[in-house]
Amino acid sequence: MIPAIRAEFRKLMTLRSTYVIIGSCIAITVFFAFYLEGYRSTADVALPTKLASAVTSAAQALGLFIALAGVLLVTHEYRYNTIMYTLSAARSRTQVLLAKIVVVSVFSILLTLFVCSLAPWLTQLGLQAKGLSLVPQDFPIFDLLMKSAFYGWGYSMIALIIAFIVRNQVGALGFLFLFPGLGELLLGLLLKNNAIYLPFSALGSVIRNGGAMLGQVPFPLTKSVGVVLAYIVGGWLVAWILLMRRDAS
Amino acid sequence: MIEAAGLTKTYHRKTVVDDVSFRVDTGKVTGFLGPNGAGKSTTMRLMLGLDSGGGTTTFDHKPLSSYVRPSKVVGILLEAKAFHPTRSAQNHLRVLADAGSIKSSRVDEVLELVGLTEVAKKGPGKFSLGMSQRLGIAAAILGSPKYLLLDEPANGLDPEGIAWLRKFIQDYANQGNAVFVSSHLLSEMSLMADNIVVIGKGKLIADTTVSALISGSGHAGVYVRTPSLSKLERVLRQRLLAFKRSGNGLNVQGVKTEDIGKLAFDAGVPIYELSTASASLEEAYLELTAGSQEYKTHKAGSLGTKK
Repeated sequence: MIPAIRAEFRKLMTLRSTYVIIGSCIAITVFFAFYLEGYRSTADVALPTKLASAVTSAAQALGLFIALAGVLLVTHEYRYNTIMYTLSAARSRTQVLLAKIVVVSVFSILLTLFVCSLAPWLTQLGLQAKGLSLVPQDFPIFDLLMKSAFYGWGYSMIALIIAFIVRNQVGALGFLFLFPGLGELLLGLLLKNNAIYLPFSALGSVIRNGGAMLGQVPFPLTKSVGVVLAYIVGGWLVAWILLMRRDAS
Repeated sequence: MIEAAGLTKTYHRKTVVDDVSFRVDTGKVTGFLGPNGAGKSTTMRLMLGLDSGGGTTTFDHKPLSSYVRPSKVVGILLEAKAFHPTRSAQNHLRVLADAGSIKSSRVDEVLELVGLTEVAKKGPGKFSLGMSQRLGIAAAILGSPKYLLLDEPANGLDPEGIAWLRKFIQDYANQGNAVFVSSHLLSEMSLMADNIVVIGKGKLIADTTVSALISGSGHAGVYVRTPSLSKLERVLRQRLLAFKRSGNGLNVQGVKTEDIGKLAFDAGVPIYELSTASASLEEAYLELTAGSQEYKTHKAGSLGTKK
């Protein structure tokens, strides 16, 4: 298992797209947290949740970007047919699946924690540059980082499941770009209050502290986490069965 | 020894590999021949468990999945361009080395062996087909496996590269390893293979040695040229010997030159030429696979040459 994890880490860290994703995440965080939330900020400096929202906004804005790394890790294998090396070098396909889960989990959690730690610091820096100061803040940093990490991890896991099921790069990316926003919005029109049970709505509810989107009923944090985990466990089960049964091409 | 038994693969109700069984012996090079679409690549993928299907393949009496480090048991080259185009050749091999618990120093060794040291840090996306094949070969031998499964490894190699590959494969097998290699270059195959497995339309046609395949061909035998062709034909028919007309003479199968010489002498048939006719692997192969081709071409000259 350790060799498979080591190989997956090397695969991830020798892909140019991984560094593009990390660089983009940092650039977007600087732009939003320093410039928009900090330097260009006006009336909301009076809000006691200003720094807390900088953390959650960073996680929400970058969830998709961070998840892309995992999607590319899997879909590149099928696109360039290196999957035959991966599967023939491993003792079992389950090992390959677990190794990818471990690597993408570690990557997504670390990158989410990094950008979410950077965001409030950059916001304060932006405010200072403009000569503004914040009111005393309600800023439970540990709680915020835990929820952000769960959000980033959950997003990456759902994206990774989609990548394993779809295998096609364009298909997986298309799904990832369209479903969380447009797809769940349209399904929400049908499901109304139950739309909160959709995977990305439930995931969003975790980071919004159980808060609901417009038109949705509030959802307790534990229930949101439970719904997300149910999707991830169910999704992995389907992805695992398909991986075991399908040809490696 | 690799033992493949009852390999079967069906795509959308079409059986592309049909109950194929054969053996790949250690210390030998086994060639794998078949027309395009015969199921060669699918058979290799079935052997490795990459495709799901019927049958079993064992490596030294054990399935590949029972080995802790499969890449130290079997090295594969199924596709020349199976790499990420921007991950450097060196990193591509390092990934494989990590997966197989192989020392990273081995990466530089195999790169040097296949002559890619100078481009080790470059992305293989712009490699020529020949360079890609060399990288594929480097990947296959990375774990110094006992078995090599190579699908068309000579494709895109220049003459020097083909000669190198031939020597390498023979040396590898001579060290007590087994090489199972498919190729369309029949002249190369006749030079390097000891045994031959032939499939056509997914079915096993032959599993034999190269020499047995060639000697069993209708093209092999004794060539005899005489001005009394019909008289000699009559004599041969009386002796129940198989023959066919070949140019101005006859090709007689299953006899030695001495036998034909004596027969002609006894019958008073003058002989202008008497020689052993040996078939080439290509002739033997074409004879074997006639009617087993999935995709046939028109005869040369039959297209666009109307006058």
